[in-house]
Amino acid sequence: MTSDVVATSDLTSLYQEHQVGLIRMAVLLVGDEATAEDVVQDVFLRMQDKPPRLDDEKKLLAYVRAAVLNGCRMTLRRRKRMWQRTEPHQPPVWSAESAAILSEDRREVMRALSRLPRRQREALVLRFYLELSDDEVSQAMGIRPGTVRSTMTRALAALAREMGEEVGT
Amino acid sequence: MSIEDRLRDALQATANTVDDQTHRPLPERRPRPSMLRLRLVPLGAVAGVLIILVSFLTAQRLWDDPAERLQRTPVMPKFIFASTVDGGDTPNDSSYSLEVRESATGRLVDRYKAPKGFEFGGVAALSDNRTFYVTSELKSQKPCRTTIQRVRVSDAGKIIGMEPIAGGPVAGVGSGNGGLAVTPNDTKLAYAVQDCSAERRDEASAERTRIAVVDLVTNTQREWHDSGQGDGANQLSWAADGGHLFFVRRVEHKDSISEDTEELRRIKSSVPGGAQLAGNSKLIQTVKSPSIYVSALARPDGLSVFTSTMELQLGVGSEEPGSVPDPSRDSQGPVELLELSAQDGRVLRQIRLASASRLEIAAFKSDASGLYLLTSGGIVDLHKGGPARPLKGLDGVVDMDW
Repeated sequence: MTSDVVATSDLTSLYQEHQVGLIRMAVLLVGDEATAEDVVQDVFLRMQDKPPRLDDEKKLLAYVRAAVLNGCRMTLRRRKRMWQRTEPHQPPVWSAESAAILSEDRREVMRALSRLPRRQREALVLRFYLELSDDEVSQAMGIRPGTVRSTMTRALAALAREMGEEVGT
Repeated sequence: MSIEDRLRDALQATANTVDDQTHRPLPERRPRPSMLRLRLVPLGAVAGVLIILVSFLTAQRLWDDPAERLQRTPVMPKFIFASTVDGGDTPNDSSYSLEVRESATGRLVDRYKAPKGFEFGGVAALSDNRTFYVTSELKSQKPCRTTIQRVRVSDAGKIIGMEPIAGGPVAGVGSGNGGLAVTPNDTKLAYAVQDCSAERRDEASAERTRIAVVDLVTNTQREWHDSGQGDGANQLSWAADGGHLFFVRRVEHKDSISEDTEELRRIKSSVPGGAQLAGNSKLIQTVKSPSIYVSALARPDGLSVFTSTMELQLGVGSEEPGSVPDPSRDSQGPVELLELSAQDGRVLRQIRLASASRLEIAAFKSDASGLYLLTSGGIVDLHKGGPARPLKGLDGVVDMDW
């Protein structure tokens, strides 16, 4: 099977069509819009410098999602160290300072989500926001489908515990 | 509402806070800096630091005292100072000159022609490489007199001043090649002269040779004498601290030239004036006729002496007094410089100067660092050995130094 370099025009089209969805996905993981925009823009800049080689152009969106997910991980890793010394330039959507954006109930869910381990948080966002299948989540996260299912189960149970509820209630 | 639904709702609401009408253009591709540019920056920085460093060191060298600079940096002196003779059809036609040449190329930088009837002889330079002394004689003067001139040279190598040292002319004729030596710090000057009185030469007790030491700081002078069989002193050289003077004493046998000897000696500079040379100096080595010292030169530390000898093949009737040696017959072949211990004459080192002629290393002088030798055949790097690097314009040199 041969792989082709993704053309710039394909990247432009994908960006125009999916930029908002990608930024929204990134917001759910990093917590603020400015950082999410930075992550997505950085992904597209890197892809222009070094276009990916894909055997099927339909996989481009999955590739970009995986890249954005990875960008969010790196941002959170850097932020962990940075926020020890400085204040974030925009409060996370789950914080008390962002009360004007979300209702209390939604903020409680997002606050509980933010306290979950990184892998569980990513699995829940990909499944319940993007409505991806196990295979698609596994591709985006770079883990096996079986691991996706067990991660999802543990993530929901952990989220319920964080919110003081039982799963299925 | 189940937890999954609550989660979906919260995620959707949070995601919707991102305005889908906001214009966010595709970020433009950043022009990638070329590898050349990436490398130019560090290379430029390194080059800049090097330029600053070299400029600093150069400026520091220029500001330093030249004498200190030469002592610290083992580089060859810039100029060579030579007394030369341009032979005419008869001795009276010969004309003498002082020359300044570049040591790197041998290029003539300046020349001073002696007035008619004057001769230049021994040359001795200071370690600043801008000042030297030279002996001069007026041939017609009776009784014979030798004047020692102090010559100053500009940084460009031009002779800018010449004046006799205090004390005026001295009686006698200079020993020519190697008959003048000065300490590197310009505090002591030594010269060897021979009596020019024909009458006195026939007397067994006549003091035919004298070595004088001039204290250049106090302008005082004292002399050591050589009477008896002593028949001349030359190859004078100082230890750098002025503590010892090294010289070669020629001893003439009364009846046969083949019994003549040459003695390499050293004398403490503190020996009082009027003392006899032979009795107050230490004998380092003796060579017997037909061998002679071509060169003898103390190293700056005064602990050892470089020497070279050659064997004269005496001409027909050599057993007869007054026969003439023929140096040219032994003038070719590899030359060996021997470094002798000044204490006991032990050979410390041998330096072979391949393909050099024995006569070519006559009149050698060391630079202030003791790393280079100036010979009539060229310049010798004492670390690398021979052959000597030839220099132009050394024909007709009487004596030279740098």
